[in-house]
Amino acid sequence: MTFPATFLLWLMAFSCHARLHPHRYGFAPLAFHARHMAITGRIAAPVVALALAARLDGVTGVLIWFASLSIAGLCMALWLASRHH
Amino acid sequence: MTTDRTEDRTRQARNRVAGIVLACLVSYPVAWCVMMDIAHVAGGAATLQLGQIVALACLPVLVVLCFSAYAGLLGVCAAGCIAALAGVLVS
Amino acid sequence: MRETLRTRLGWLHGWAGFVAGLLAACIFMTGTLSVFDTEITRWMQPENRVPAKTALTDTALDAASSLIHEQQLHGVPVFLALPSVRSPTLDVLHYDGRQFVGTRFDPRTGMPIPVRATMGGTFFFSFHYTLLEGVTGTRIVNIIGVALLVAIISGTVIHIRALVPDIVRLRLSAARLRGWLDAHLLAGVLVLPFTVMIVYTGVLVNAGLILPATSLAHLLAPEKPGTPATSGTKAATAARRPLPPLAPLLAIARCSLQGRDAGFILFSPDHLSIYASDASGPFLTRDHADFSLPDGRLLGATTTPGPVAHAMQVMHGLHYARFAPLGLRWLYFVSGLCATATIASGLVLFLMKRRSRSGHRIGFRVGESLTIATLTGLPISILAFLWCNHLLPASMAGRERLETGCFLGIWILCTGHAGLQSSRLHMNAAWRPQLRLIGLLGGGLPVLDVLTCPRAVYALPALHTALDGMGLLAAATALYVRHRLGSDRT
Repeated sequence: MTFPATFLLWLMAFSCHARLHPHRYGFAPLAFHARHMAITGRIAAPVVALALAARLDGVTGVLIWFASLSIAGLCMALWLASRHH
Repeated sequence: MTTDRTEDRTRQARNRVAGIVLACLVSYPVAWCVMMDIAHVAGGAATLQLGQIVALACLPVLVVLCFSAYAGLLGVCAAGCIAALAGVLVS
Repeated sequence: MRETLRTRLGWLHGWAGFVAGLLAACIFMTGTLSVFDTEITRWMQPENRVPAKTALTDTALDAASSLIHEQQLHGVPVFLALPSVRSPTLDVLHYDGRQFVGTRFDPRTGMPIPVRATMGGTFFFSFHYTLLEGVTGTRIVNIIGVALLVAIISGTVIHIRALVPDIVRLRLSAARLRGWLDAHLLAGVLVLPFTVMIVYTGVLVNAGLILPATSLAHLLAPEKPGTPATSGTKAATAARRPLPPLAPLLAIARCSLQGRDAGFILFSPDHLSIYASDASGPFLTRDHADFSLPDGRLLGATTTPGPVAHAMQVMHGLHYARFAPLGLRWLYFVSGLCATATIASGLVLFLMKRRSRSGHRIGFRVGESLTIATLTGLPISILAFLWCNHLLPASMAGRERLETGCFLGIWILCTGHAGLQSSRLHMNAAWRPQLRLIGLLGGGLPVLDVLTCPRAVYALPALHTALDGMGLLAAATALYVRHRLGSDRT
C-alpha cells in the first residue's frame, strides 16, 4: 500500500513542477495564488511521501521512495509527451 | 582554414586523451593512499573496509577533477602528497 | 575551438560512456535478469512443481541428511540450502567448478525431484559479475563500474543547469536526435539514485580486486602458485559417523541468530555451521551458529559487530537485494531496465552525433557493429538460451554446456552479421533483422512454454506468466523500435 501512495504523491509533485514551468511543458501561466499552491505542493508531496515510506523499515522505505520517484517521473513525462504529440 | 580547424581538432583530441590517461594515473594512487591511510589508523579488516568505501567513492570524483582543469589536477596532486605523507607518518 | 569545462566534460562523458557502455549494457541487462535468477531457474526446470511456502518436514531433512553423509564419505564438500519463499525445495549442493549442482528434495516427502540439468538463472548472475571470465572478468566489471561512475559524474555536471527544470521533459515530436537525447536524459536523471547506488555497491562488493590492500609493488609481482588442497581426503576419513537430526539444531540456531531464519548449512568433517538467511534483512551477513559433529552440541555463534561491518553488509544487501520482497524486487527490475535503457540510448546517441562526420570511417563502423551486437545481439542470445532450455531433451547429457554454447554461438553470429552489414554501409540492414528476431523469439516464448511444459504452467501460473511476459515485453519493445526505424534510410 505504501508504494501506490508514494507514487501518487510524486505524481502530484511532478504535476506541480510542470505547472511551474509553463513554457517548457506547454501550459498557460499560473496566477499568483495558484503559483504559490504549486510551489507548496512540489515541496510538500515528496516530504509526505518520505514520511510514509519511512514508516517501513529504513532501507526498504528509502528504496521505495526513490523507485516511486523514478516511475512517477516516467509516467508524468510520457503523459506530457503524449499530450503534445 | 579547413586544414587549421582539422589540425586544431586533432590537437584537442590528443590533449584530451593525454588528459584522461594522466587523470587515471594520478587518481588511482591517490585513492589507494587514502584507503591505506584509513586502514592504518587502527588496523584490522573493518578499517580496511572503511578505507575501500571512502576510496571507491573518491576515485571517480578524483578522475573527473583531474581531467576537468589544471587546477583540479594540481589539487588532486597536492591531496595525494598529503595522503602519502600521512601514510609515512602513520606507518 | 574554445575549450570550456562543459565541452571537455562532454567529451569525457561521451567516450567514457561509449567505451564502458558497451560492456555496461551487457552487465546491466544480465544484472536486471539476475533479480529473478531463482525464478528463472524454476522456469528452466519445469519438473520442479513444488508450490511456494511448502512446510519442511523431518522426513525431508533426514533424506537430505543421509545423502550429505554419503557424499561426505566420498570427500565431496557439500552444503544444504534450506527452503525459502523463492525456492521451496531442499537442495543438497556442491560446486563443480562452474556452478552449484546437486539434488533437489521435495520438502514434504523427502523424495528427490528428477529435474533437468541446466545452467538456470545463475548463468545470468555469473555473467553479470564475471563475464564468464572468472577473476579477470570480475576485475574488468569493476573497472567498467568506475568508468560508469566517471561518466555519470561528468554527465551530471554538463546537464546540471537543466537537471531539475527538465526532469520530466520528453519531446517525441522533435527531431530524431533531440528525441533520443530527451529519452536518455529522462531515464538517466529519474533513475540516477538507483544507478549510482547499484554501480557503487557493485564495485564495492569486490573492492579488493580493484583496490587491494597490498603495496603497489606487490601488484606488479607475479603470484606464487598455491599449494594443492588436501582437505578432501581428510574429510573422507573423518566423516564416517552419521549426522545428528537437523531439525532440533535449526531451532537452536534460530535462537542463537536473534530469531533469524536459517538459509543454508555448511558441513565440515568435525562440525556443521548453520548460516542466517540472506532474506532475513537488508544486512547481508555471514552470521552463523556452529555445532560439533557427531553429537550436535552448540559450539557458539559467530556474528560480525561494528558500524563499518554493518555499513558493508548494507552495501552488499542493497546490491544483491536478497532481502527484498516480491514488490521491491519488481521495482529493482524496472529500475534496472531503465538504467539499461539509459546506457542503450547513450550508445545510440554517441553514434548518431558522429554519423555525418565519421560515418564512413572503419572505426565508426566497428563501433556501430559492437553496439548492435550488444543492444540486439545479447537479447537474442538470452532468448535463444531460454528456447534451447525448453527444446533440448530433458534427459540429454551435457545439456547445460549446450545451453551455454548456444548462447555464445548465437551472440557470435549476431556480431558477425552486424559486422558484415557494416562493411556494406547499410546499418539498418543489421538492426532490422535482429530486432525482428527478438520479436519472434520473445513473442514465441509463451507459446513454447505452454506447448513444451503445460503441467508446469498449470502448476505455477504466476511464475510462468511473469517470465513469459518478460519475453513479450522484449518482443514489443523490439518491434516498436523496428517500426520507428522504418522511415530511416541511412
